[in-house]
Amino acid sequence: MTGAADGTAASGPAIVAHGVGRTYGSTTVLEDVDLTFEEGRVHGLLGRNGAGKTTLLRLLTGLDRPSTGRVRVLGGDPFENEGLAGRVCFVKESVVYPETFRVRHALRAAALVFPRWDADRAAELLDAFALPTDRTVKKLSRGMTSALGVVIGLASRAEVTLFDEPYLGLDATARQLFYDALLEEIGELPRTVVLSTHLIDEVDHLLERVVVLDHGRVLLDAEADEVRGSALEVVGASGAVDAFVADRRLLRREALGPLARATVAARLTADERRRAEGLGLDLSPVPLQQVVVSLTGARSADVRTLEEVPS
Amino acid sequence: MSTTVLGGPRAAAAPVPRPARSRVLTVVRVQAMDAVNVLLLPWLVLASAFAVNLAIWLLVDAPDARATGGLASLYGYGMAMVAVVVSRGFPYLLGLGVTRRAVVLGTGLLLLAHAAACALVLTALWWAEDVTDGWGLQARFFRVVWLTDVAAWQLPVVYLLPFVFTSGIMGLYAAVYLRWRAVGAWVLSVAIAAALVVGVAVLARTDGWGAFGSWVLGLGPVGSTAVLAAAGLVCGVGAWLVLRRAPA
Repeated sequence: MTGAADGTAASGPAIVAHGVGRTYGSTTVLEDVDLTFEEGRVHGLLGRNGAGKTTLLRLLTGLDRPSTGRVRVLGGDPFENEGLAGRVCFVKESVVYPETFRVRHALRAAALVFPRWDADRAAELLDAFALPTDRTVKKLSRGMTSALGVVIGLASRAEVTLFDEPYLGLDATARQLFYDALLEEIGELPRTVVLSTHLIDEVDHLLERVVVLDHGRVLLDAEADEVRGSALEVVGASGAVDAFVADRRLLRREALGPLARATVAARLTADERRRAEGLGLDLSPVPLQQVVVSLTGARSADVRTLEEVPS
Repeated sequence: MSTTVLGGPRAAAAPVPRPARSRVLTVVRVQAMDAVNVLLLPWLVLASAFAVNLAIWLLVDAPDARATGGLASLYGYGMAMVAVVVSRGFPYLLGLGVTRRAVVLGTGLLLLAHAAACALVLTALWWAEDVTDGWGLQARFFRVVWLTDVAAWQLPVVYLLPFVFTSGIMGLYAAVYLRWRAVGAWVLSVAIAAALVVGVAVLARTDGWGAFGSWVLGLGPVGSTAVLAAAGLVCGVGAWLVLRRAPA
């Protein structure tokens, strides 16, 4: 069959952004963004509201054009690219469907556009999300609208699939359903996935690479595993904590009475671990979400060098 | 076509993109799913206008006054529907990854097909009205005075061409709205109004009304609707120029 995908995964870049900037009038939304999303992998596009995630996704899908720099998707410029039609699926946060569309119309349209559309998969997912196919899209609840987007994104089997906060209004069970289905889908037919999300904890296990945007710039672009191991939390008596973290890069520090809890960007050697034990400190790895929160919560200039932490 | 024939491992590495022509047809099919509902509404409006007229003709005994411009409701209400189909379909289809070019061509093709279908139905209704001697009331609803007083083969043409005008101008409105929102639509309205005012002023100043009237009459129904259609086509090209670089 077709596809970058049938087992011959991770060969090259599916998406490349080079020096990409986007300004609207005097507002700069993206600035000098360089990144590469590899074929056949799952990428997390993380960052706070207004960081530029949606704008970046719009540039990657040709809905808009960068003010500076260039983007390449599957080797081509995504703007007005006939050759990319049907190979890239963008699940927007909010889609405005044609006036009289029912759920079945949205599915039929997707089936016409995406050559690898999997109707059985779509039917299965519709069932799982309990989506009524005869309901007009206008009358769907927020969660159901999101579910429809998720169904289309997964069943499209597009080589590049981008989700922009696809979970709005979905309850925890439905979100879990989405994550499980996504995992199953990429297991069956690997494809390049970009997942823009705030719910980092929930998708932690899915992500292979992480890009963090902050104020329109790339704050972090790294392997998810590296990021997970790149910081740790130190808890203990304030004095001991401060002594231990003194010469390390502090991401965050909280005082809890006589105790302190510090998040530091560091990988420890066995010796250092023994020293911490000696000081009576508790060490624990920091989940991905905490790393991102620490990064984007602090003044970005102070923490920009996290990527330079030696591994 | 040759790309599919060449085959080989390289071609197998990526799905063969469909030819552009079929993309345009995809747009026609997707837009038609909405249009069957949206573009039917004007016919319901026309049917109710016809029913009201019929009731009046039956109640009022004035055979001389049994002519009406009720048919205009089909074109007028149809304009609003064109705006809906274009302004909703464009961002939706772009979101599905279809190019602006395919969306504009496909939507234009659909609107043209719709106009042709309407023209044929109206021609049939013209005949029905003619055969029944104005529904037994000597009424003229579909047989519009002057406009449809043409040779039989010209009937579909004079019904069709005004649709080209209404679709073109509303397509342009929708395009301007999509790109510059309400401000753009307002500017376009002001520009059209200003052009009309200037035209009227020129005619009034130069005492040109008579000449203008005889020019239109001289063009005849087919000629004058063709002029309208040409204006509609210009608007359609304008809509494409507005949308070809528009973000969605």
